[in-house]
Amino acid sequence: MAVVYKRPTETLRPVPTGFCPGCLHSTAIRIIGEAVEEMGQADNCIHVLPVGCSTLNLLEWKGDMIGAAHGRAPAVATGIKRSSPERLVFTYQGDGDIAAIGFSEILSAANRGEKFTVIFANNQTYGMTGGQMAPTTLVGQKSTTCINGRDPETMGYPIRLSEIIDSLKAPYFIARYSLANPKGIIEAKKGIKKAFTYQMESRGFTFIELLTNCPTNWGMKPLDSLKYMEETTSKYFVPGVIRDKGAEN
Amino acid sequence: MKTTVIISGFGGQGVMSAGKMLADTASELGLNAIYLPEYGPQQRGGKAKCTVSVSDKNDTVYSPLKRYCDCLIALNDLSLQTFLPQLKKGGILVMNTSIIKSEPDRDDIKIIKVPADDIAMKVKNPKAGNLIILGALTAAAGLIKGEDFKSSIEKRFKSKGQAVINSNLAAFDEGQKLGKIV
Amino acid sequence: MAKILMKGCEAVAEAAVRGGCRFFAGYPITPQNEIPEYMSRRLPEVGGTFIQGESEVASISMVYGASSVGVRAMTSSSGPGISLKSEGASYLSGTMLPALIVDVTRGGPGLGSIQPSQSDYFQLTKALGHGGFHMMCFAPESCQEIVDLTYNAFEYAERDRNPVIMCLDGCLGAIMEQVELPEMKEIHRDKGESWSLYRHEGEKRDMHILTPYLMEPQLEQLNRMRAKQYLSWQKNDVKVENFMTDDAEFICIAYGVSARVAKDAIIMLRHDGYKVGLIRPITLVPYPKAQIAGLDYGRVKGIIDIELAIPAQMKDDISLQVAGRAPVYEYGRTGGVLFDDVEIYGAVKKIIDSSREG
Repeated sequence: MAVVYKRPTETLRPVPTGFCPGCLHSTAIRIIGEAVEEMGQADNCIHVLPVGCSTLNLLEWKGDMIGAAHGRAPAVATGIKRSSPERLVFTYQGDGDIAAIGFSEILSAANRGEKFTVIFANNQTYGMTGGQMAPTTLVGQKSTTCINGRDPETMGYPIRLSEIIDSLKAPYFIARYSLANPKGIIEAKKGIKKAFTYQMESRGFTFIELLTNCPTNWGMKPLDSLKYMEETTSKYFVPGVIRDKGAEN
Repeated sequence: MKTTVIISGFGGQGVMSAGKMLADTASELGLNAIYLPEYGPQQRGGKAKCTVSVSDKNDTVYSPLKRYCDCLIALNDLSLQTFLPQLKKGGILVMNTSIIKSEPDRDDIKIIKVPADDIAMKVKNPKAGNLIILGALTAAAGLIKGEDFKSSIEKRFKSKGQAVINSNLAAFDEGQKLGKIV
Repeated sequence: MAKILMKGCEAVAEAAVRGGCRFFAGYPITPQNEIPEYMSRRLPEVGGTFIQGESEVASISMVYGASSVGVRAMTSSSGPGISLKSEGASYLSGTMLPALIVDVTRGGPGLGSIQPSQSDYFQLTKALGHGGFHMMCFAPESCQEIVDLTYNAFEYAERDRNPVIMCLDGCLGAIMEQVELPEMKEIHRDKGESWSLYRHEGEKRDMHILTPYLMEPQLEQLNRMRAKQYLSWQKNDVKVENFMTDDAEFICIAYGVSARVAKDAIIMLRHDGYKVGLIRPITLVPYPKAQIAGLDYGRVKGIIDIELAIPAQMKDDISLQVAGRAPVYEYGRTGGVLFDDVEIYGAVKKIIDSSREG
């Protein structure tokens, strides 16, 4: 029988993920693993871990890894990539890590045009700590620190990080994908590969935003969370390639 | 041998560069030199002060923070008032009388009045005020021989050409003349 | 080699480069700006990397990243910035990565003053960062000593896989003195293979994880290992200077610029017939405990802690070793106000005279 699908073996360990059932983090890490493996970069890759649920990549990822302090992954990646430009370096960060406590680090790294890749998993909540409001929590969306839903009067509006990064001149590739459906997942993987290719060609800063879910803290069944993503999240955080300097040339 | 020199004036009068040049020259001659700059938060125009201690191995200066000095170079009135009490009895005061209008009220020190800016204009080297002052100081204090200081000037300004060197040496000599009189 | 005149801040930077530093990230703060300025010019000359970070926290995280791939990396700051770097310091120690951190201390607390002070002893020796860890801390007194200690700082940092701190007060950062510079060390980056993510090009090997996040039993094991390491520092790595202590009845204890001021004061006091000496801790961590505990308390009548800090921050460490066998006095100035040789002369004299009367 022909093998039509197999798990990546060089980038992922054959263990259960640390994520909750139905969580798209595991989908994200799988397509990243596939991309790295298919590009023959498994041995050359350094994965900078953030703080949050995504720290659990530690359990499944098979390759060089370093844990950063909360929000500092782009600064750590800067130190690595500048010192070892031949390595494929990427951070994988959640919304609290990247758009709140690490807002300065991500913007500055993007602005300097650091030649590594940032993969941002946007699920609008602080998952690991139990579902507090994130900078990306939608207006009206409930969390443990806004039980009546986000009120823009005192809590402001959800941050569209990709669009903010798009306001900078240096970044080379910026794209947002939704992992809510197979088409989005396939496109996301292509986008990740493109970003990694640009990185290995030293073209510039590459940024991928992945819309993900958090059934546990959203208080939804996994399928309902996918429906919510399609009907609500994707309307505010619109998927698509935001900037591709490689396509312009 | 150990000698501590305080140099003070406005920021921009070349206080720090004069102190550095003194320390540098002493250092080149194999003496121990400590140079400590002190200035306020302003980048320009504030108070500027530096302390230079020169010593040899037999008699070392340890502290960069000295109460009393053997020589005081005062480049403005405020510096003269502030640091004159810190000049040791028998010490040497070099004051820039192109700027300072007040008289020092001490009779237990040697006083060398150097109209540095006027002399600098006279020798057509307006930047050389501090070389004139240092010329006067070294002649009076004998802490570095005039000839040694001059060969250091030659090295320092080598890249600027012989004309600049000669002009600076001439300025230094003007200061030496005033220092030797005392 | 010929001696050249160098500013303390430049001396620490040049010595680090000669000691193998090839990465610097820092953020502007007075009175240490000469360090990043110097590094921005110097590192590209030797194939190194300089980055002006967007913040103190980012800068030390960049150092953490560079160190993780086996590069000798350094950052510098002053009190308020060192507070911010405490996060990174804790991560470096927790992840077992070497680094060099320089603190050019100024008046505190708060934004404080930009004038020299020795306000960070507590911070550097007791708790720079969460989680309970120590870093070796060197406190040079002169530009030459800055050079000598910095040149070898990475050897300690890599031996222990732990950051090392250089404590320079603002005065030392600013003074210029003659220094003799050592030769440039040859750097073998692959030396870091065993502990870093560094790989030779195309090399295949097992994954390597550098993580500040450990399971409880491993974390306990790490902390137990560190505790043993700290004991071994105490045994093997203490550096201390004794100045005129052989017959001294009163011992001053001071580090950094305060020790130099005290030396001139002691020479004056000796001239007046006072039997005074100085113990100068060169390592603040490990602290010279045995040297203080082992004094002849039959002869020594009193200990005087001299610091540019009020309250005197080193006093508890001293008192623990003196253990009540002699009174421990303190004299200091703070907030960026400096003492000079004559002030210390007067202060020590007064302490001795009044203790004799009492």
